[in-house]
Amino acid sequence: MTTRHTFAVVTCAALVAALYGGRTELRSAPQWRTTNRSALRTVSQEPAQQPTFRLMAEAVSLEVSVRNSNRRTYTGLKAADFEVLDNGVRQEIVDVTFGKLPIDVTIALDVSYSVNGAMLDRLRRAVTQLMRDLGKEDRLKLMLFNARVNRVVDFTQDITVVEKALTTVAAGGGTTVYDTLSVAMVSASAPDRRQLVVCFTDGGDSNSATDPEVLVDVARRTRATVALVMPPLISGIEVRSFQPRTTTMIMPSARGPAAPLRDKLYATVVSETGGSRIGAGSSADLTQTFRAVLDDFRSAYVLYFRPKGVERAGFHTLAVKVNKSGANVLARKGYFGG
Amino acid sequence: MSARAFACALAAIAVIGLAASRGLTSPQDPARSSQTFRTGTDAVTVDVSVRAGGKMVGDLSASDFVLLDNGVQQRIDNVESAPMPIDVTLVADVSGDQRGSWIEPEESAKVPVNFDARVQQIARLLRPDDRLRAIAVDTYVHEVFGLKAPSAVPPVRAVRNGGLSALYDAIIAAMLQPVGANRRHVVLVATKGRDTISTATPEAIRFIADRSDVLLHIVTMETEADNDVARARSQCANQGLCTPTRRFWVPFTRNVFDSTPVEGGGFNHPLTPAGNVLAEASTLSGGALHRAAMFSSPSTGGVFREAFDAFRQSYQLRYTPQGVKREGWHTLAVTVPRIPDAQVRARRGYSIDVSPASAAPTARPPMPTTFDEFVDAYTRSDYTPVARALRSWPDPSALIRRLDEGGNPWPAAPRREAVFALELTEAGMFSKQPVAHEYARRLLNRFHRLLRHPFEADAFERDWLWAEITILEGTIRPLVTQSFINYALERFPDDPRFLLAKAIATDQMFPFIGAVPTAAQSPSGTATAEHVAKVTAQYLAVMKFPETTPEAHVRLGWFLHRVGRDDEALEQLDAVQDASSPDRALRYLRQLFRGHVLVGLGRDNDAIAAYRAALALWPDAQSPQVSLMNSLLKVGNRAEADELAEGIQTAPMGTDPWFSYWLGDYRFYPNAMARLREQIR
Repeated sequence: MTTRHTFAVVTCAALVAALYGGRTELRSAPQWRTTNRSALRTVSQEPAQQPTFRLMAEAVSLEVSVRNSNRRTYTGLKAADFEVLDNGVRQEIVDVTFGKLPIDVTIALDVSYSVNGAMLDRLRRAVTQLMRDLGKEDRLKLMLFNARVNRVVDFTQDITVVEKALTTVAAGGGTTVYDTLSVAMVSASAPDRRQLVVCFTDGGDSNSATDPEVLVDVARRTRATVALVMPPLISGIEVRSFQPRTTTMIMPSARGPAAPLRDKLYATVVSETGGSRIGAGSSADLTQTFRAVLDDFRSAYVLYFRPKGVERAGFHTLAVKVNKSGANVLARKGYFGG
Repeated sequence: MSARAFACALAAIAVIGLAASRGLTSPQDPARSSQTFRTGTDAVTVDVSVRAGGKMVGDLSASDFVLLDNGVQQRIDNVESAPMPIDVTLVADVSGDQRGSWIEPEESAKVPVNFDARVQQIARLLRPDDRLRAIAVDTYVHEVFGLKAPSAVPPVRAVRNGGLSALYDAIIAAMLQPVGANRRHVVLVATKGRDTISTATPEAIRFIADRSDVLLHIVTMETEADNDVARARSQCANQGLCTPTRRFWVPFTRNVFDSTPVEGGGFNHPLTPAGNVLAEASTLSGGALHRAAMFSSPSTGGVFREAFDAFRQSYQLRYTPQGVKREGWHTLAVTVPRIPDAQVRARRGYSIDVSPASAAPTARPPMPTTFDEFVDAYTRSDYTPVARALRSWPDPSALIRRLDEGGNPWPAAPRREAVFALELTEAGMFSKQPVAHEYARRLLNRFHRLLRHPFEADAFERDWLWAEITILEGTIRPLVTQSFINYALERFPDDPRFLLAKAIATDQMFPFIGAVPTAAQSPSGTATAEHVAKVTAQYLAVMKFPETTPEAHVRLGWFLHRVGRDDEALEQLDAVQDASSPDRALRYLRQLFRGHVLVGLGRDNDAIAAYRAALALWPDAQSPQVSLMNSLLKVGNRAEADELAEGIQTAPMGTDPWFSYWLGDYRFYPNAMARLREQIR
């Protein structure tokens, strides 16, 4: 197991977080992290399957975006400006950071049959620009998926590697959006970095083995923020697996939600992770879209609190409030305690 | 070319395909099922009859004959005049009068009587070791009885009759019947001289007659045709029934001859162009087209007798071709110089195709780029480049239309055409061009009729329909697929694969993914109770067949899971065991599905075990890895989940049967086609 893996296991096992359902008045979402490295090392000696809240030093981290009605970020907020309820119990916020942690961006591009041609070219340009927009500590990973989930570039800061990988992208085959999102969320686990998964897909899924409810469950148990950039679903597209040619329909995936249910599923996933879903028209400027997603993610606060007065195990529903009138708060909706 | 290869090449001139499409089949040894010039090693045999002064000439020897093969005189190795047992196929036209239905009741009763009279007449002309079979032709071709010794020929008490006339198809079907070793085949056709429904053409008959070893005699029953005309004229004049009450839609009528009333009564019977081709075809085979009319000569019986006599008194010349290229068409000319007025009847030639075995090794042929190149490749049995080229063909519409409208590129090999049609159909059905779908469907429907075995559904038709259904299932257009499956079930009501296909197509109706809403899905997006019951019943019905029991259980299990009935789903999936099916993909899917169902039941650890079992069965499959990763995450085994996530992203491209699950049994398409291609040969 690599160092990164070990680290991930430690932190994830100790502090696996995900959200448990339901809309709250304020959008919130789980993000957990320990603030004490020595504590982490101690935790690493525990069996990996024994998660969370073993040490007093453990804390939950929660990424929170606060914007006004013009989508401008409120800056300069302090701990006292926030109120966090964990299963309804108000928690003491021990620390707040803004823009300090490096970011890992996972770009997952749908290169199934349904995403091709000019759209694919614009995608290439958008991803390249996104790479340029990253901070010097930030990294980018590139995943391509059709029926297969394929990481073509692991986390890197080398733009030339990404550019080269993008030149070889070719579209075709079926689509495994759910599987890809699931894999991307699970593998985006470096504890000392913020995790953003940007998935570009038209949303049609033909080959996933991941059931919709399982996908939501994975979203709750992992910590990446998911942003979906979605062009309109092309009608008459072909989705096929070993037959790389066209049909006029989309195969149902594992349990095959019909289109309305599929939309609801995506809304749930992004909501659970504190992310967003952005439509991208056929002539949309994808470069600007990707840049906006990154800026939104970058301009989030990270709150740390040590859960008190609540059971460790099970779901922890989170609610976050800010003492700014008219502010829109975006955060995970909860996390899993061990 | 080796002697064996040459024999194969000679065998290649046999045209056996239509036996499956229009003709007869008999469970004979395949080695006997081809019609060829009988060969020793490199030998060719030619039947020759010699008539002079109105009598057959006997006692001729090899030195009496001069035989030219492509203009090169050949040394005749042997001449045999010993009578050889013959197989006679009688083709009797029992079609109705397409101009109106009112005359049929009157005639129907006479049909079996007349038919039986003909049969018994021929039986009396045969020798004890000869055999006779009878075929009746109307819209379809029916075998009245199979090959029987003359003494065992049954009386014909009933014959289905009326309708259109598939005369040309019937003649080809008869000519393509397998012939036993050391036997000869005579086809006798009695017809009113009208064809209205055949897919074959007179040219195809000529083509086959050129290349087969059959002796073809056609007797046109002009009197019967005249009666039809006279009766219609009389009814028009006396009853006012001048506009026929059509019982059948007659797309076209191809007459062998015209029944042209002449002044003062009677009819002229000039041969039409089609008739001329038939006459040529029969002459090419060594036979003839005879015109029989009431009170005229030759009578039907006379024609038959003459045919048999000529055949029995014929010589069989055997020679080894020298000085000529073996492959290709060989024009034959046989003369008897010492008898100046001799009428020598022999076939006019034969053809040897280049067989794959005899062809010299060549570089891998390029992918076809034109229809003709597709045909050439298929002629060479070079299927792979054809399939590869079609898979990337942008719009197969033109190819399909060319085949549909241009006729069979292999007139003597209808099976080859039928299989080629499936290749095009697959390309058409999966094309991005909707119009190609329509062309493909039309082509399939046309071949339904072409393939419909005249007597009983046969193995080739069954295999062809199976391949067709696998394609359609793969398109996931269940509404379209169902109509084709219904046809297949009409032909083969108890075929488990077709019954399973029906269930799969119904299953494919939910979730709703087409343009037209169906009853399978409620407005809220769930399956309707009616649909659940229907799918369940159809899968259950297939479970009684051992061949499809495991797949029916697995598919029903997955369906029930999809509609939220996990307890029942698990019952179905556990009703079969891994060892119950040799199909690894099915065993894999069963475990994968069990995993999903067990997750649904909250039995995460059991689900993990099932996913691991699926992975063991198909180690490079992505789906069980993702599913296992999800479940491990859920039970808190983050370490292994992470490892799996890493492995999934970096694994080399592998296969996964789950990806094709929704395509029904399309996974069997390659095997189905391979099986059909084997039957082309």
